[in-house]
Amino acid sequence: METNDKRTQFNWQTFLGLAIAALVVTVIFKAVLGNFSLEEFQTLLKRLPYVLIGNQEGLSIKGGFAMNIIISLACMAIATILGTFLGLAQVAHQRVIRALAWFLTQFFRNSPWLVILYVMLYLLPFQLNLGFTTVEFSPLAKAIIGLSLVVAANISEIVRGAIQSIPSGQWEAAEAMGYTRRQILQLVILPQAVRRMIPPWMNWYAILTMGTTLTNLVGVPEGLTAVREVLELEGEGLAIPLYTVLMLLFFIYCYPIARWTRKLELRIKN
Amino acid sequence: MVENKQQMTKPLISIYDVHKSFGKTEVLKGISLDVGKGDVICIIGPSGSGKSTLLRCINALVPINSGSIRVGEFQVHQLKSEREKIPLRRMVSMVFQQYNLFPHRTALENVMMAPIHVLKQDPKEVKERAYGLLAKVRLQGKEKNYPGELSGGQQQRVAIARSLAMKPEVMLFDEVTAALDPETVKEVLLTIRELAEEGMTCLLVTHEMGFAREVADQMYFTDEGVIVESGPPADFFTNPQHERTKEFLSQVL
Repeated sequence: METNDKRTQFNWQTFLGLAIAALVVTVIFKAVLGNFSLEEFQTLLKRLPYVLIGNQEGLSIKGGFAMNIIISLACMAIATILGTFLGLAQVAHQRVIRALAWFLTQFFRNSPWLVILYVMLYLLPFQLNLGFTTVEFSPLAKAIIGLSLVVAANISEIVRGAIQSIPSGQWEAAEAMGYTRRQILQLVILPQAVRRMIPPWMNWYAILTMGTTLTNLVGVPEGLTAVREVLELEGEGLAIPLYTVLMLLFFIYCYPIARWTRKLELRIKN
Repeated sequence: MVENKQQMTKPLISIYDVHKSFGKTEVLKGISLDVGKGDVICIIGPSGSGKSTLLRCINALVPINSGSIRVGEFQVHQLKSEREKIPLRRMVSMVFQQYNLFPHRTALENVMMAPIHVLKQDPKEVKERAYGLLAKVRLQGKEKNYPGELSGGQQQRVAIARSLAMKPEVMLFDEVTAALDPETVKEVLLTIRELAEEGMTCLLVTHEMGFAREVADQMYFTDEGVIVESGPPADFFTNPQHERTKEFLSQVL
């Protein structure tokens, strides 16, 4: 019964959030409606697929908002793996490994995202010959690597923080029973720490998704790029409605993640 | 025959002139004591007197600065690596003030984990034994409960069962009733008493004077890192020799 109530409440809050967003959009539309003709509205609808998937003719994804999602997913996958290793290295027994992981984490955590994106653009070669095969680094690949490093550094901190938040008594008890350090981490500490990592991890996913719009500055065709291309083609008159549409797309995608994160946080706290 | 007799009289645990410092604070300033097989010894003293540290030195959780500790065959102070310490920890089990059960595993799993992962024993056999151990500490029916669903006293008894699963020869109890509600203290003490009566070698750091008096073969009073006074409980409690002991006992009794 009680869980049922909670679910209803959750849906209400989501609905309320979306309703407010719709209201804001309507007000903005109204404000520009003076010179927003039916013709322009039709143009907006016509160009919507391009904003969504960067493709006016077919259904294959060539950019647009869908590219932001793809970049975010790819980055998150790489960053999670890399960040987990870095985070574990930050609590390693060997001082050298710990220091190195700490430095890398702090370095990428405290660098501006856009600067890292530009650095990657110039640092990584266009092609890398590995002898048996040639790896090509497109602007997209370079952008994904750049953003992955930033998010990995933040995930590294999440992993380190969660591991260190487990009471020392857990280590002590396991050690007293003869577990090796590796077993303690695997069987005792990490299963508990992962629960605590999930909410901040999801939070970083939402931040990353919004941050993917930066990649348009290094030549990746994504949502923001698509909007600007449409504006160049159709004129600046559509600027406000089109940017609003893009904002709304991000909102619809990120808001439920934020709500879900909050819900998980509360559940873990109890 | 002679050799055999010597082994009988040789204490199971020999601690000699142990010093331990944390940074600039010297916590143990030359502790020496022997514990025979099957003995129950109780260590009492004000907080910060080094009692808990002493217990942790015996199973090598805390390395000592100088002196020597022998437990059975093991020269504890010479064990360096994790691997070297494992056989010692198999022999010496410890129960903590805060229970330190693993909250993500059930009571049964808590008892089973170390025998399976550390001793590499057959899970089926371990499971059977774990049921038996939980029954021994009077927790039948609680096997599938998570630690968070149990009372403090029940958790502490799971912790004792978990320690017993390693089939230790020595049990270290570090203020195991200090964090418990008064009404659950009894059930934990009863379990410890049963162990003592079965001949388990027990070292207890405790504030339960009445209990210590009943179960201990030997009492030790520590203060500021040294053993001030020791003796069988009958003498120790009724006729303490040192001023400091008298003062302490008058405060806690």
